[in-house]
Amino acid sequence: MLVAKGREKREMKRLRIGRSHSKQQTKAKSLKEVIQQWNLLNPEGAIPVKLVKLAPRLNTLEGKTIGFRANGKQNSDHFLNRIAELLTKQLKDVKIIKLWEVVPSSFDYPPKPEDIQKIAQLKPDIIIGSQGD
Amino acid sequence: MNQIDFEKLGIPTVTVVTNSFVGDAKASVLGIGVSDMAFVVVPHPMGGISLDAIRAKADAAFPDILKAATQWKPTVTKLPPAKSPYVKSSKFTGTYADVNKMFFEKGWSMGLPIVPPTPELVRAMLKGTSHHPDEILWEVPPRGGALTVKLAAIHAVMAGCRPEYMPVLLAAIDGLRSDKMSWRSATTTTHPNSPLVIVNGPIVKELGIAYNTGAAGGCYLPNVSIGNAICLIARVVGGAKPPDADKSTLGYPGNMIATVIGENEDANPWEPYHVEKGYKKSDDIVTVTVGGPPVNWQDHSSTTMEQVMRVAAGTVNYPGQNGSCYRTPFQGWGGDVFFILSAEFASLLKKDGWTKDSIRKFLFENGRHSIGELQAECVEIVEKRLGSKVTAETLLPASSSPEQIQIVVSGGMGKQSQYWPTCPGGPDHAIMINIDAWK
Repeated sequence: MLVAKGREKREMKRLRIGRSHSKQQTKAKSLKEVIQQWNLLNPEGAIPVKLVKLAPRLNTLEGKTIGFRANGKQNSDHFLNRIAELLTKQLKDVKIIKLWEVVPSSFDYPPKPEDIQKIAQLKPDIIIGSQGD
Repeated sequence: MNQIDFEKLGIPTVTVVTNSFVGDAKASVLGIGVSDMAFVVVPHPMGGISLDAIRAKADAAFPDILKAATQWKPTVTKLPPAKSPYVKSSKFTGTYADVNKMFFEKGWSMGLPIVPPTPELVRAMLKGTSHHPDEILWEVPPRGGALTVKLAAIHAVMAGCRPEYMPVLLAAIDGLRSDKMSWRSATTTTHPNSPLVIVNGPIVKELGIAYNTGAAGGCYLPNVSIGNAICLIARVVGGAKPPDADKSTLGYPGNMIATVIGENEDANPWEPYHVEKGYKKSDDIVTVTVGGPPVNWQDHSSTTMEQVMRVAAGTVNYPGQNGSCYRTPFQGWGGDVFFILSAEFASLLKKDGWTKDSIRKFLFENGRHSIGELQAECVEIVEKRLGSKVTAETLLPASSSPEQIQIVVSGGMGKQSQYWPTCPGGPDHAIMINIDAWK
């Protein structure tokens, strides 16, 4: 009888362990794999775009006033200096304005409104800008 | 380089950009309503090469520039339709991990886990401010996404903020959106700019904003979550993401989580920063700037504070600092720099008779390098700035005036402190905002 009771106890213990293990497995499964329906808010933000109309384009640079605008970084002015040389050699009656010389803060980013006005008052027909980076 | 203003005035433009930056340029123009611009792409780099080499690049690009100036016509690209700023919601089925994966793949997060922004959590977050959810705060450059109070709350939820942090977050945004902050320039350049947010007033202790040991190092929920929300807004709403819009060459962790610290007013032996600037001690104030990365400096062995300050002066004008050859004295060029003193150094300096003004003066006079030690062409740059001749031996300071050296006490005990440089193209001065306006 004692042996039978011992066997019964062991069997009960085995069943309890088995049930507990099974519960843990179910809990682990539910923690890992909870698939649910989410209602989520989009974090991007809409873009209230106001369309900008570009300026009319030129069909020639001959006889035109060309504003050169460097971004203040190394070689942006040297690059534009060479473009200015080539334009003056190859095209007739081209007038060059190096904006970094006449409006030194013209490379500020963003450009100051007063500098934009100063540049516009020079009446360039086109502005060629260059980064140097 | 912003050429749009000239197009709006009826002046056509051509813009030369290197192949490494053309993506940034195209992303930027879309955000301001321009579908196409006349770009001429040249091989990177343009800086750091010889005069002969840059002239050769100009020769090679000349035909394309001529063509862009006389034959280019804009292509018609469909811009995103203009619509009222409102926040959309959508249904999603999946696990929490799936939500994070989806957010990252859509570019709505930076890869760190986020708290999913459900309507319930966002409603709770909005209780932290009296401002209307639909109030438009900012069209965040360069993408131009419309940031409403509700959208800020969404990012606050994602970042792990508590509702009571909302006024600090909104006050920081109020500072960053100022035209004087030059946010577009600061977030799209190669320099790894990031925001520095300093909080003063009783709100520091009320919210548990760290101001003592490790204040800038993480592990403090208000500091980290507000900093995280700021950068999420910059990346997701503003679109300042590498590699196209944000061109930070390497970047650093401050680009992911902005530095938010409280001033250690208990340990400040002089007046608190906001009181120095004219506020009352009881005012809750946020000071915001953009610059960095910070440089740590230490001195564990000098026996006089003058020697300690010489070490500090040598740190604040390290030659590789961005814009180091632009800081010509008293020309107003170059923004505020921040000298963040630890509690220990502040105490020792005060005992030795130093004031904030004498610290500024010392750093301005002694924190100098000769132009010859700085990057090439500095002589040319400084001469243009000053309009007079200089030599390689001419000394340049860390800021254009002593007044631009901002002194704040933060952090705990220890003979370590930090210097925050500014960056050309960033703000000239830090912006201070009263947090009460956002409660």
